Amino acid sequence: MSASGFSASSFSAAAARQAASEVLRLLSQRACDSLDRMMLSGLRQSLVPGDAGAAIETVDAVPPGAATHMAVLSIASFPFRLNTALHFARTEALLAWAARRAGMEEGAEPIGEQQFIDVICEVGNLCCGSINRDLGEFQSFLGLSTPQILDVRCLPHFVRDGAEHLRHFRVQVQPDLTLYASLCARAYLPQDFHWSGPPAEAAVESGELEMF
Amino acid sequence: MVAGDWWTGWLVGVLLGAVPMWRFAALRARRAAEAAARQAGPQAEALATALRENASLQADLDRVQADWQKEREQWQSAAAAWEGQQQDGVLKAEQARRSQVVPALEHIHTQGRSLQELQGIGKTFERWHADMSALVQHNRTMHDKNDEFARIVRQMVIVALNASIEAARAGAQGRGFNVVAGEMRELSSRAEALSRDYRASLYANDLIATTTFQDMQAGGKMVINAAMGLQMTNGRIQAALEEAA
Repeated sequence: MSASGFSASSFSAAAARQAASEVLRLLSQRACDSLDRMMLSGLRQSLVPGDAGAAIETVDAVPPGAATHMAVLSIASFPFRLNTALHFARTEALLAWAARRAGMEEGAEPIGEQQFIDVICEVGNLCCGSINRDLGEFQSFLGLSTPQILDVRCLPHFVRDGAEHLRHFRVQVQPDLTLYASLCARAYLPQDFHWSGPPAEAAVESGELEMF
Repeated sequence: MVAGDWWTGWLVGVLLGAVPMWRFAALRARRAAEAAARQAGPQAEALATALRENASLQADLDRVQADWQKEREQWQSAAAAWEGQQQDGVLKAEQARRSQVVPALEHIHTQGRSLQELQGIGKTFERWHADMSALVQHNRTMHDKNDEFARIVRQMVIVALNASIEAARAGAQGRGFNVVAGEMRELSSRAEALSRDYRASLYANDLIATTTFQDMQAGGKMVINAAMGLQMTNGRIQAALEEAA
């Protein structure tokens, strides 16, 4: 459970791009951008629902020491697969947040190990469920895995596994709680699609709701 | 007597006055009849002509009616034949449709059963899940063993370093021991590098095994969802065919 050896997770998106350039690119740039937007939307819905102002952004790397473990989930389709990873460590702030998320009252006993993992896995499921729905606009057949907890030192091996697109995200859940997540995509057939964002955001983007 | 004479006289007087009057009236009547006959001559001729034309038209009408009746009978006969053919065609089409629908329905039933059985593929995924959990557990055991190995190696490094120090203290007599301690340090260093490398391989193994399993699991759910969709479509086709059969 220690964060020792975490330096491996400082593996950056730039390195991923370099590695990806060595494999045949099957994901178009706009498909990668669309996947990033889907991930952002999924993180917002699962981690900070109702908080439209919460800061969620892409980052080049997950800082060393930011997490010890990650909840990994996969979305599969015939022509591609996605892996998502929600990084976490058992910090006081995250344990308290998870306890509230689990419906525990303030000042109650600390959240149990399994309850904590269940909350983390639930967040991962919600995030991937959102991505799954968004991908449904472009893919008829999709499947979502169950979450699995891995040591965060597994992260650099995403690219060795043949990932074509790797992006890291930072979510400011609350002032004292920052979480990181990663999205990894690999295609087996050429993929080119465009997803502008959730319906409300897409409408604002296209000017439909500007007057409101 | 007087009265009889009077009546006789009155009768004679009337007769004497009426005869000329009658003769005059008869004369006028004859002349009028002759004048009327002279005037009625062309009208009668026209009437006769009209009657002839009427007779001719009546004959034409009779012929037309006869022809029409004949045509009508022919049409009725043709319509009856057409209706018979239609009924025969409908009957044959119904037989042909049934001969196609019934086997198609049997195929749909077979397909429905196959799709239902395909749902059982979930059992296979559960088996994979169990295997995956065993593999992850096995990897954790290997991590633990490797951690223990790394601790031993670190201890070996310390021991080898101590041995080198002791060999240095022994001076010339410890020279041979120093060589052995140096070899031990070298081996410990290589073992430490190997342990680090092995740990990295184990983490790679964790990720590869997890993502591969998750790909299979997610792919399996995709297949099950697709099979469920096909089963629903199959059910609709079956209902339509049963209604048609």
